[in-house]
This record gives sequence, C-alpha cells and structure tokens, in this order.
Amino acid sequence: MSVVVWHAYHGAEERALQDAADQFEKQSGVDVQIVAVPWGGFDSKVETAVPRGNGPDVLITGHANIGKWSKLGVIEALTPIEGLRPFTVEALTYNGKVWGEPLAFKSPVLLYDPAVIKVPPRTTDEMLALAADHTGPGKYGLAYEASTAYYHGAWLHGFGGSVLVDGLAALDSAPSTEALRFVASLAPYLPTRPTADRVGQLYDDGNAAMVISGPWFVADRTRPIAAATLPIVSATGQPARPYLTVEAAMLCPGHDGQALAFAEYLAGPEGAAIRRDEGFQAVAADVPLTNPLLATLAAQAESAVPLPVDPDVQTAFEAENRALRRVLRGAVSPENAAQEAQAYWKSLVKPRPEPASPLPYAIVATFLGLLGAGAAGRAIGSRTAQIRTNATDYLWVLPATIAVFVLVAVPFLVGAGVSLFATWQGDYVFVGLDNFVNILTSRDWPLTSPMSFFYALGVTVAWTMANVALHVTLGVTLALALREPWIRLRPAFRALLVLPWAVPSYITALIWRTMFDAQYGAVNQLLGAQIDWFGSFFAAFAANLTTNTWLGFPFMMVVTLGALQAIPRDLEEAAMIDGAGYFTRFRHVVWPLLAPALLPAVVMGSVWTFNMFIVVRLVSDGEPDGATELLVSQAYKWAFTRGNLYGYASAYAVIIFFVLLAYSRVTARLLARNKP
Amino acid sequence: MARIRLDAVQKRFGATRVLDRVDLDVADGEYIVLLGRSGCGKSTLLRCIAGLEEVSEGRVHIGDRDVTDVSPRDRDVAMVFQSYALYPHMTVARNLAFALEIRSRPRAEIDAAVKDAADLLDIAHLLDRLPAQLSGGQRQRVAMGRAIVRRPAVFLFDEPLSNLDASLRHHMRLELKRLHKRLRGTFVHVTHDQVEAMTLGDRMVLLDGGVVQQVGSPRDVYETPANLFVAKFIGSPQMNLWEAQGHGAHTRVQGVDVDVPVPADGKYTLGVRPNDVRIEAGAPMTAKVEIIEALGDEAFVHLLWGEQRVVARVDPRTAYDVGEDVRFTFGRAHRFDTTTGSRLP
Repeated sequence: MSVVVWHAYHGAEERALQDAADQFEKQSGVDVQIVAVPWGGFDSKVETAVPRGNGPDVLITGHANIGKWSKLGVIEALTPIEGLRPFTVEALTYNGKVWGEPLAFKSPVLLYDPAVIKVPPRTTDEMLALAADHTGPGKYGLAYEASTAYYHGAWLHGFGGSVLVDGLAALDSAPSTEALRFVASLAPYLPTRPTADRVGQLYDDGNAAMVISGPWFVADRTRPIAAATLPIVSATGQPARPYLTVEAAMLCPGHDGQALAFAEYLAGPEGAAIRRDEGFQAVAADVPLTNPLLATLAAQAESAVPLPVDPDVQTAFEAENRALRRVLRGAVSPENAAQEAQAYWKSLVKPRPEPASPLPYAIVATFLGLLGAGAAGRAIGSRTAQIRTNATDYLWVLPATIAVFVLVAVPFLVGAGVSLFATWQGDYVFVGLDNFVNILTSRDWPLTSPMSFFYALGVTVAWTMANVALHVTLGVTLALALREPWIRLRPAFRALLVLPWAVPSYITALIWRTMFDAQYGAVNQLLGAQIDWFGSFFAAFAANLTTNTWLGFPFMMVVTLGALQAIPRDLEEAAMIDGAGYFTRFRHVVWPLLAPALLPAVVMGSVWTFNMFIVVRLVSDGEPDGATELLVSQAYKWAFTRGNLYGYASAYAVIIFFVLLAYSRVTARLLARNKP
Repeated sequence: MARIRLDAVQKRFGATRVLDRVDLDVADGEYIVLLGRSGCGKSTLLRCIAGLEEVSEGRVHIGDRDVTDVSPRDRDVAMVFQSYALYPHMTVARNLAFALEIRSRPRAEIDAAVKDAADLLDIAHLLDRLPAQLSGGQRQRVAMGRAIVRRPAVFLFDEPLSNLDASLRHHMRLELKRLHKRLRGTFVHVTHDQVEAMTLGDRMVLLDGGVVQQVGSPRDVYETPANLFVAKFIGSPQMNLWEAQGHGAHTRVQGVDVDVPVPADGKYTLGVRPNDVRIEAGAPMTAKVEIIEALGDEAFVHLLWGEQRVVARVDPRTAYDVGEDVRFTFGRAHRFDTTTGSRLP
C-alpha cells in the first residue's frame, strides 16, 4: 500500500514536497507517491476522478473549493494538528468542520523594484504619488491584473466592502462603488489589460516600479524584488485586505490509513521546516518566518480575507470582473459600473426555477421514440434481403458506426437531455423547454444586449460571412498568383502559405492575441498607433477576423489550387486570343469554372467558422463585455464561467445544432443543383 | 495586310532551345502548313505567332506591324486549339459570340456574325447546346466557328484534325480547304500528318529540332527534298537510301554496280523513291522479292538486293511470288551529302 498525493506545485515547492515525502518514508516506512497534476486541469480532474474511486489519498490544493467539494463528498473532514496559525485553520473550516491540514498561505502583497523605490508606500495616497512619479512612456508606476476581482479584493475590503454579504452579491454597495472609483484613479498608471505574463515581463524589463502579486510571482523573477504589505487605504484608514488562499493537504474518501499521518507530518513542524526552507513557503505551522518575503506574507495575512468558499462567489467575481474592465476602459462611471454589475449578477443567479411536469414530455418522447422505432423497423424490414446479401459490408462499417454513435450520438442525446433541465446550485431541476423559451424570447436581456441570443446570432452570422468572404478572396487571389509564370520559388511560397494551416490553431490564436496587445503588440507598433484592440466592438471583431482569416485562407487556397489544375490552360489561352484581358478572363472563364468546385469548401468553411470557438476564446475572449462572443462561446461561458448553467448552455448548443442543420439543408440543395 | 514575317525567331525554355533562328515569310491569304514530328517546335512557332509565347530573340510581324511585344488579343489572330478549348459553361452561341461580346460590339452585329458563322459551318441547329452535348466533329466546327466569327487577318490551327477519326478527318480537310477559299485569310496550320500538309498547304514548312529544314510547295518538297531529313519524312513508304560510291560512269552500292541516271564522283547517299524503282524484264539489277504489300489501288514490293533492301511501287494487278528474282532499274534519283545530309546537285 502507498499514499498517493496529487498536487499542482512546480519548481522549488515541488522539490520541497518531494523531500518532505522522502523524509516521511524514511521515518515511517510508508511509501508515498507524489503525482504532479497540471494546475489548469486540477479541479476538474479531481471532480471526475474522486467520485469514481480513481482519486488519490491526499490532495494538496487551495481552500477555495472546500465548500463545493465537501458537498460533493470529494474530501473528508479531519481534526487538524496543534501548533498551526489560527487563521489558516479558520480558512479551512466550513459548516463547522475542518477539511484539510493547512500547509501554507498565500496572498498578494506589494512587490517593488528596490533599485527604484527606496521606501515602499504606507498609504494609497503615497502609492498613487509614487506611481505617478514612475509612469512615463512605456513605463508604469504600478502593474497588476487590475481587471480581476481576485486582485481587486484588496481594495474592496480596504474600503469596507465585500463581494458577498449573506450569500448575496453586494456589488453596488457604497464601499464597492468607492473601491471602483479608487481603481479608476489608478488607471493612468496601469498598463491596459495586463495578464500575469505581461506584468512579469514589465517588471523584468524594468518598466514596472511596483507590482501587486504573490509569492508565485517572486519565484519566477530574474531581477531583485522587494516585498511589503499592501498600503493603508487613505480614504478609510483601513489596510488593504487581499484575498488569502490557504493550501492544505485534504483527505479523499477511502484513503489509505497512512494518509492522515502523512498529512500531519507535512503540516507539522518538521514538514513545515522543509517546505519553508526549500520551497520558500509561508507555512501554516507556527514556526518563525524570517525570510523577508515570508515575513511580509505573514504580516499581510493578518489583514487578509480568506477567499470565500461559497460556490456562488464565482458568479459574483464574473460580474465584478466585468465592472472592473468597464471602469478601467473608461466606458462607464464607477457608480454605473457598480449598478450594472449588481444587475448582471442578478441575471446570472436565477431564482430556483419552477420544476415542470415531465409527464407531457415523457408522452411526446415516447410517441416520437415509438414512431422512430417503427420507421427504423420498417426500413430494416423492407431491406432484409439486401441486408442479408451485404452482411459483410455492414460488418465493415460497424466499427465506424459504433464510434460515431459513442462519440457523436450519445453526447448529443445527453446534451439534448440536459437542455431540458435547469442547474441551480449544483442541483438539476426538470424545466422542460423553459431554457429554449428563455433563450429564444430573450427573457432576461433586451435584444440588443450582447447577452441576448439574437445579438450573438447576429454577431455569429456577420462573423461567418466576413470570414468566408475574406478566406475565399485571399485564397483565390493567392492561388492565382502562385500560378503566374513570373513567380519564382513557387514551392517555397506554397509551403509558406500553407504554414498558418499547419500550425496548431490555438498557438496561432495566442500569437495573434499577443500581437494585438495594446502596449507591446506588433500590430500597434507596425501601425504606429495606440489602439486598444479589445476596447471596442469593431476593433475586437477585426482582431478576431484577422486571426481567423490567417487561419482560414490556406484551406481555400489549397482547394483553389486543386480546382485550377482542373481548368485547362487552353481555355484561358483561347480567351486571351478572343481578346479577354486578365480580369475578363477571370470573370468569364476562370471563375465560372472555379465556383462549383469552391462551393463545397465554402459550405464546410462556413460551418467551421460558425463554430470557431478557439479564436474567440483566445483572442478577444468576447471583449468588450461579451460583444464579440459567438453562439458557441456564449454556450461555453454559460456552462463554465457564469455559474455552471449547464442546462441553459446545452439549450444553446441544441439551438446551434438546429441552425446549422437548417443551413446544411439549404446548401445541400444548392450543391445538388450545381451538379452537372 | 496580313502577311506574316518572322525574323530570326528564337525560343528557349531555360537551357533548351526550341526554335533556332526561324525566318519565314507568309504571304497574305496563303495557306501554310508547319510540319514535323512531335517536339520539333512547330506548335511553339504557332504559339509565338499567336503571342501565347514570347520569343526569346527575333521579331514577329503581322501585316505591317511588329507585334513581337503585342499581346495576343491585339494581334488580330484567331486560333483553333487541338483540344478545341470551348468554354464548357457557355452555349455554342455564347462561345461564338464571346470574342465580340467582350469587345462590346452592338448586339445586332454579334447576332449577325454568329448566324453567318453558324450557317457557314452548318452548326446553326446546335447554338443552344453546351459543348458537353456535342460530338467531336461538332465541337471541331464550333471551334472553327469561334475563329471565323471575328474575321481576323490570320487564322492559326494547332493540330485541328488530330482528335477526329479517319473519315471525319478527311471530310474536315476538305472543309478547311473550302473555308480558306471563302475567307481568303492567311492560314497557318500545324500538323504532324504529311497527308494533311501535302493536301492543304499552298506551301509547307518542315521543322526538325527547332530548325527549318525546307520551305516550299508540297510538290517542291516532294520532288526536291532539301536534305536527308526531308527526304525521309515526306513520302510513304519512305525513300530508298543507300551509301553509294561514284567513280566516273560507274556507281557502286555495296560492291554492286548500279545504274543511276546521273552518275557523279565520290561518296554520297543515293535516294530513290519507291515510285522511281522500275521492275522490268531486262533491267540491269537483280533482287529477290521478300514481302508484298497490296493496298488495293497500289502495291509495294520489298526486295532483297544483296544485303540492301529496296521498296518499289508496282501495279497491283501484276502478281509477284515471294522468293522470285526480279530485275529492276531506277528512274529519278536523289543525291545527298552523307555527312551533312544536304542535297547534292
């Protein structure tokens, strides 16, 4: 027997964990297996593996999920050891029980460049003044992920606010509004829309004097960096209170008998010392933290607020993120942003839906099922002889049929089934077609709101048409150019032009996303402009369109190159002698012969484009405020970032399916008419 | 008006020389045939006249104009392609009208021109069809119709008959001849078929390896081939050729004394067309009959003459036995320089 441990650490923290495990093995003789799970997939892996008995004995992760996981039965309560900092135990307490052995605590602190800032600011006024002093062309006095609710927590709490009050969002409270106003005053000194990577880059290049981030940021730095607690909010006299995450060793049900012993060893003084000295962790055990960064973290922890464990906090964060983006962009005043955010949250968190009676649905489903079975039976019955004679042939297609059934039909039917339910705080409630009615009548939003189905449909149709038009134009033009006799190095060009297709599309999308960066992006540098590409609908749409055109034209080019080969050169020469110039030849001879060959590619390309999730998700991510969201990415957002409304999202998916079904029926007819 | 003049035209594709200093003067209204094996450069030469290929060196004149750098559409030429190159998505009527339509001619003029051409070629009943709905011969006519509808100064034909079966080809040959009489245009016709060249051309141009071997009327070329290549290429069966040694009045071919009409001194290649081999009793030379080819209205006997072979054209009504000895003599003979291949007087 051995104790299996899942964690998402890397670098020094991972090494320290392994060392601690080795020590424990030596002392106890118990075998410990340390398994690294990628951070991005950690939660979903836990939620799928553990309930099916495929989980580990011990999970090492932050405390934010204990609310959900304790409900799901993914983790077990325990009695923590003595000698821990009380606030770490408190963070792991939910419903009166403690759900893990606290190991370490982390929170954002104020990080600064000691070469530039001699004395860290003690108040926000001082911080603003320092930031102003160190802001110039390409330089920022302060850099942090200002548009995320997580980092905003420090100010929100400092102004006396809280994201949830008694389980309800308080996004429009006076302190919330004040905190938004404060962020607006920071905006001139902040980079636009920074990601964690961008903040790191700014600091490493010496272009950010102060940064708000946590110990993970320090671990990745190449230049000296100093830490201090976040400043006191001048307006209230209260300290800024960032969110605190407590990492813990949690026990999974059915764990090995030695799992608790290992968790206790890790949390205890011996394990803590190893993790502190080798992994540079601010450990939960009450041992001295003398390293300046760890000391700062300990000091910061005194005012920090544990990240709420309420599952609803995610929805409130989503609404808060939106408000922050809008305020930082200057799109709306802090007051309006606060009110909008609260209204948005209300629309996301729906009251418990009225369950519908499944009876009429069951009757209709039974009727349809019988009808289908009857039709299938009749179809098979009338073809028995034919089936018998071709039995081997049917056998050959059987594996593919099974694969399609399992991979396409089953998920589709499950998805369609889920669309008849509403998800409410993790429960499924049967609501019949209510999700569809809700979506198609745009019950929760005005038609012109980016959240409405019809707005997204309009964007998606415009997106598809614009893309396909550009793909065809560019693809055909390049294919024609490649045919010209004066082109040298033709194979090289052909290979180069197919390259965008050969590179995995998510990589391409990420590269374009970086190129459209407002401060550092290659696009703005080339244009010599300062366009905030994700700040307005048309700019963001253009950025998405550019990316997807880059991805899409090679396909059309390759199809065109093939189709052009089938057009005899004679025809063009005949037209040349008949007196046709280049464009006349293209219009009257080449295009009429090319178009029928291109039509199937256009049909296929438009379906791909209609459902082009990757580009929208990775380039604009729906910015600004969901305006560039497509139907498919809307469905994704409803399922995964706006409170897990799986039923609602499935209804979206089913509607998308029917839209595309109708489209394919129309185009099939077009294609059939085109056949000679 | 539509005289064609080529001055030292050269065409190279990379390092390959396809046409080597071709000089040619085609008179207005002349029907000239470019003849040669495939790959000899005849189609390239035609495409240089059309402007579909740029010449590497030299000049091309059509009428009074130097058109070397003029695009095909401004050369006032029409071309019939071997594949016919009909626009597959247009009806016959539109195929015919296309050249006039893109020149924005008045509708009435276009309709009249299409009708004239269709009547002339007997394709008026096909005007509404698509090329895919036509037979090979009908497509051929439409292709010709497309050329004549514009009344160009020069008509270019690139192997126009090679995709037709034998009887249709014969028929179309006559049609082409008639067409030429009616239109009085300058016709340039490319073919690898010597019968086509002999029957159609006012003059023919023999090409080999991108070099003009001989230009002349079919009669000239047949009667006085300029070199061994022409001698071998024109005439079927091929001209009999032997290495000969002349010494005063005596001429010997492989140790056998032969009787030639005009003896000459030295080594040379002796050529006698099968027509000019006469089998007669009492003739000076003897050979054995090896094979008899009877073609109905004519016949050829293949003779073994020592180690040499002789082909003779004979009266099909005369019977010969294989293995029989016959006596023969030569009528007209040709002499060629063995090393250079050129004709000797």
